[in-house]
Amino acid sequence: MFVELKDVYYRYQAGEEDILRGVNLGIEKGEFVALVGHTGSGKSTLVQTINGLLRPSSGQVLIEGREIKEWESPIMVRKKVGLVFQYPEHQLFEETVFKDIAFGPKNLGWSEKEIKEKVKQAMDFVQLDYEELKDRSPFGLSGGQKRRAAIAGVLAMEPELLILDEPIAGLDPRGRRKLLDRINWLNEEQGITVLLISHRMEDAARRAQKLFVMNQGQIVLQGSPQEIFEQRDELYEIGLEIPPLNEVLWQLRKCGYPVRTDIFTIEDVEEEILRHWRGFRCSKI
Amino acid sequence: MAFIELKDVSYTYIEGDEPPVTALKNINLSVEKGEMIAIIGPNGSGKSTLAKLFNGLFQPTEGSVSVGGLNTSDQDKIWDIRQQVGMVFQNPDNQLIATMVEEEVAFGPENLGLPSATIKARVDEALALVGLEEFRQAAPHHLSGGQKQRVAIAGIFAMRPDCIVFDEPTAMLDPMGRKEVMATIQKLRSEGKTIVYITHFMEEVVDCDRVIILKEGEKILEGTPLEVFQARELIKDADLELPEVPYLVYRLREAGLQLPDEILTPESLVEKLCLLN
Ligand SMILES: Nc1ncnc2c1ncn2[C@@H]1O[C@H](COP(=O)(O)OP(=O)(O)OP(=O)(O)O)[C@@H](O)[C@H]1O
Ligand SMILES: [Mg+2]
Repeated sequence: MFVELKDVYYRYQAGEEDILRGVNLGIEKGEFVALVGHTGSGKSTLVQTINGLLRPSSGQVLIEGREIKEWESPIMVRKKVGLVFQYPEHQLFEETVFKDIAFGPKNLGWSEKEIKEKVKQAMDFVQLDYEELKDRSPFGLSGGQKRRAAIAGVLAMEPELLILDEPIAGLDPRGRRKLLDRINWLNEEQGITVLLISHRMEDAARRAQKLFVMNQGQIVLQGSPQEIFEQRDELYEIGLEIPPLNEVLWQLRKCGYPVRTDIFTIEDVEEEILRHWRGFRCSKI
Repeated sequence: MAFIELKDVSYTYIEGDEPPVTALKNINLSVEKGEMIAIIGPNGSGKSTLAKLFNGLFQPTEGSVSVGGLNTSDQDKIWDIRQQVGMVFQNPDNQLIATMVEEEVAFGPENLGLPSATIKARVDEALALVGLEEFRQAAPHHLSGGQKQRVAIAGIFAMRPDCIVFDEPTAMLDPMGRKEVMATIQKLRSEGKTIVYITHFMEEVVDCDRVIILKEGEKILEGTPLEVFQARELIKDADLELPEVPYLVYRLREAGLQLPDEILTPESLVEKLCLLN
């Protein structure tokens, strides 16, 4: 197992209530998994225990079989596990975009030339124009540009596990889709393990092979997107929705139409509806 | 004259020896009192810059902006203008400073130097409006994202502005938080407030009176939500996308199903499909 959490508890301060209450979870190398749950369910806290930013109050976090607290240095953990925070402005602090993205790689002791190369590649990857933006202050970027810069800073370190906490919030729709396409590419072509936190169920359903559903500090459901979104009513009970197109299919089924509900792409849903409504088409005018 | 009027407005960022960035070009726009307008556009298209022109936080590089008949470049009037136009931003954490919800909401009215009985009345009214009366003693950092955003809205409401500008207030929220905030904004609207709403989510503009699309600092389209949803080519050009359900409806119509094109929600699509059968 690449990453394993065993009965992890976490509370921010002694005497306060537990935010994580016995989390058990495993991620295999090369998997693309998604973590979903409503605000306050503990997602951001959970992923911070995986890159060593937070130390569990009890329980174990293991990477490649070794407990994080036994690693020689936190830098080595950060190199393996890249975390893109929910609020990108918390991640930007240098005076230029270049320095910001180069910050991680510098700590790894790479040469100037290598660093420049990685920064360029990473900016390219998130679609920030290197020449135009490298010398600008990160604080003068638009919201979506800041988000991209924060992601580039993590990618430049070439982590083996990439954790993205709501990476698409604040991105325009096209940017959102392209970024997710590229993350899928990293996973499929480069073998990078991905953990995506997203409020958008359609993204989790379409992108990930496996979903973890969190509620009140615990993993309450896990399985393939098909398995998870079959449990529509259970999800509603803990404040989650199913993807909008699946909501259409579910409601059709409730009206008595025997449509499939275990499909997620717009093409498949279109085909499924047309299959049942074929008789009602008229030729296009 | 409209409540807010922008005439031939351009805005260029000039900072130190960095190259100048022209964020807005030749914008003409008017907002009537009580109207709710939405502004959408891709990253970097100038939405946030535009928002900051509405309350005089920025002065236009060219052209003029007036609010309630006052020109925002008139330094003597700037406080009147700021009081008329409040702002709510994307990240709720950066907006809240007090340790208790009611202090947070009282902060603005206190700065206006109002008597304490008036402040208390305004805080009560604002918390009732956003539905957080029972949280008045709570610590803001213990609230959910949607609740934090509602505290921020209450703080602005307590200042009694005529207009509130929202810059992607739901971007960081989960679907539940998003619904709470949208419902609160509809309440403000029914109180007669003028609303400027910036978003990337096209599904959120459905209830607005008017939608404006920005691209690379220019206004490329202005119309009702339905008009805008039908301008598919322009939407694509502006790197925007139809929401899932309207897009599915568009495709089903292309495939020959006789569905009306104003379907926006799963419920109405299901209803129309059942009618066909
Ligand atoms: N303080 C600043 N200094 C220099 N340039 C800036 C500054 N703020 C914004 N810009 C630039 O102005 C342009 C418009 O930015 P703005 O923040 O208005 O876009 P936006 O539409 O709000 O984008 P987003 O959807 O990403 O929030 C961008 O090119 C941006 O890089
Ligand atoms: Mg913005």
